[in-house]
Amino acid sequence: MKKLLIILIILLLPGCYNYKELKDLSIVYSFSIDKKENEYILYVNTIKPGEEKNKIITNTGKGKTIMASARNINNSLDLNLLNSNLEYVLISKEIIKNDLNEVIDYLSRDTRLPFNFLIVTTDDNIDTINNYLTKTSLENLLKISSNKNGYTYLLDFKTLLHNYLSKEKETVYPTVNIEKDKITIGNLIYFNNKEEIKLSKEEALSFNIISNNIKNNLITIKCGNKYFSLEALKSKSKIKNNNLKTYIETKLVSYECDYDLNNINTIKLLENLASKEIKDNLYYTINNMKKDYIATKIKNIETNIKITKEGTLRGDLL
Amino acid sequence: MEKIVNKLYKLKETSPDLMIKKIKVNLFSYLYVASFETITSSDKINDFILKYISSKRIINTKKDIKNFIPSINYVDINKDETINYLLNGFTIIIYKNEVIAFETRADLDRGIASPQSEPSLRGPKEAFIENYQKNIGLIRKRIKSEKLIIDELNIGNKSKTKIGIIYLKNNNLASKVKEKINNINIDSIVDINYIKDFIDKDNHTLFPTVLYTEKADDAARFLLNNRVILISENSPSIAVLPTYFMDYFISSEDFYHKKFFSSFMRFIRFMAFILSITLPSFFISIINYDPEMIPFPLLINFSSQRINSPFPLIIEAFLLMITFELLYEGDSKTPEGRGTSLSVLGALVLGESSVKAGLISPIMVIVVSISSIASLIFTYHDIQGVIRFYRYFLMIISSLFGIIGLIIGIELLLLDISSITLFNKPYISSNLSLIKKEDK
Repeated sequence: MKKLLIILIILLLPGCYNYKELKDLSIVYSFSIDKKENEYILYVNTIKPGEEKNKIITNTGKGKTIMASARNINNSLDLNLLNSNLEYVLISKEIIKNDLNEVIDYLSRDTRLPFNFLIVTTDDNIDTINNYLTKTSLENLLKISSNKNGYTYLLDFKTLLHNYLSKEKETVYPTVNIEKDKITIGNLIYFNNKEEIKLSKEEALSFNIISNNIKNNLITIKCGNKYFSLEALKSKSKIKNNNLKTYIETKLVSYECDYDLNNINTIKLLENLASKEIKDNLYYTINNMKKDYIATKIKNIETNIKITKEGTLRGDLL
Repeated sequence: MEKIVNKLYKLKETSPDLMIKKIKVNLFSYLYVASFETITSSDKINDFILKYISSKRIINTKKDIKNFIPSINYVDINKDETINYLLNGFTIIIYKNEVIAFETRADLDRGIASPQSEPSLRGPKEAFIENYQKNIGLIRKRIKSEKLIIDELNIGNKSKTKIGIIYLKNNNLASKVKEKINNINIDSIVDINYIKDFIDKDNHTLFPTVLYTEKADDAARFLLNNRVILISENSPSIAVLPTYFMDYFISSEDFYHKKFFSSFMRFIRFMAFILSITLPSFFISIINYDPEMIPFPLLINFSSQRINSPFPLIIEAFLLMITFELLYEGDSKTPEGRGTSLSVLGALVLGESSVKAGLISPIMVIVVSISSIASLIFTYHDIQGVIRFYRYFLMIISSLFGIIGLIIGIELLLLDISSITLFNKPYISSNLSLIKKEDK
């Protein structure tokens, strides 16, 4: 009985230490990190529950190190921060170029931070973006766009850390910009020896195909003078012995070409057209990358586009 | 004769309902008729006794009296037993030195009605009443077998209440039960519930080990499962023993539905048991110690609800729980006509206003209501006591120690429940049929 009591007491000792009242906590929504005049600026965007729905309050801290700036935030806070629900971290380009090391160190050191928040950068001033956060939910914007369009993708902290540590891979960053008084998705960028390189829309799509990020994206292909659109259903890319093999299952969603769809051979023709165009795009992208991404050693590319009968536009004709 | 009559007249001084009639049967001798008006049927006395005695001429012997009074149960009794028989509803005739007792008991009970505390939609709606004989009749009606055995004992030094032990032949538990009941030393037994504590003295647990039911079909079902049933005089419910944990999740109505639905209902009952015990404590420990586990939109929602409440979560929970207990107790004691005003007061005034006044956050109201509703779905009410106790226990321990406290509390519950043994069988046994192969 004594032993049992001792075990119970030992087990219960850690208890009260962690007690929190929900109303004394401020829920952190996102971080923005910038550096100006040799000082880190950490913006912590918290959601204030209550009166106004989803009102985002930005608290700012400055310091010589990123940790110092984090501590300085406490000068303007009346609540404790609850970091566990961090959605994304917005990092300025300057930091990616020069001080990525410190930021990754800070983000990976704090055990209370989750590991799956998104990383995003911007062409604009970080201050400006922060002003627009109440209007637009940035992480939803990224999620929807990457799911539907394929010109951007979701970079989470885990991937960034993995790329950073492996030293072989260069990380491609999604960007957001202010356009017409709204936050919109910008081009993907990567850095080659501190030189910023932008990916065009075609290159971004190729990048997403290679890195298996295709979800429900739309691929528009030229047929003569007109176009047809395919919606991706399944995608799989594999790099083996310097060969890139891509298989994409699609459905036809928009069709303006002259070929007769009632003809069985037309679908094969469309598949070949799509395969060829995507293959050309992939070659173009790989050759275009100066310090190459994962595609450095790729020599041969094999693409296989399949148009499924099910769900195809005017499927009854086929 | 004089002695007994004097004794009766003395008794009449303190019991005004004792009726003593002195009837002159011939020139020299008298006959006395005595009975308690309150427990005898005056119709029976008039029709079967007085009518004949006054019309016929008694010719001196006891035999004549018996002959005059036809078709009614009678017993020759000792003079010492007179008062005992009187108190049991007999009418006593004293003639010379002989005493005869005629059974003229009145029906002092309500008729067989439908069950009040265990209402059922389907199946028989006969419930036990306060009449011992009728209760046995309700069981015999369902089990027409000579193997149904009824042992009778009188318990209670003052009340001398008749207790019936009913079981099927070859039930090896019966002797143990009889022994336990024989050892009971109590002044009076008003209801069968009085003997609960005497039967299960060895297990120091809060879980119910004796089941009380007022449904006759339930009683027959348990008997056929080789349980022992205790019936007491003046008690509208019977006791079934031994009962195991799973018995409280099975209702007799389950057998009147398709298997699939019955199993589903049992699953729901089990879920309700877990939910009603752990939900408030789980909520408290998550909110106070591990808000990281809550998804982001939900966290914002909870946080905005808690922003204005002045009390810590545990105080809020206790305020609501105690209000609910008061309502529950008040409702059970309120006559039917006034129940509605109580529920309006409870639901609208207390529930809504306390939230509007900012005393309690709405989410806490939801949590407490779910947990309380879940505890109400059990047919057998004894298990509700355990649920309440463990709910409060877990709430306190998890408000102090968070999730770790909750887990330890649940472990203690499991320890409690798994340490009970009833008649050499573990309490959490799932094999509920106590019939052994050779008995079939």
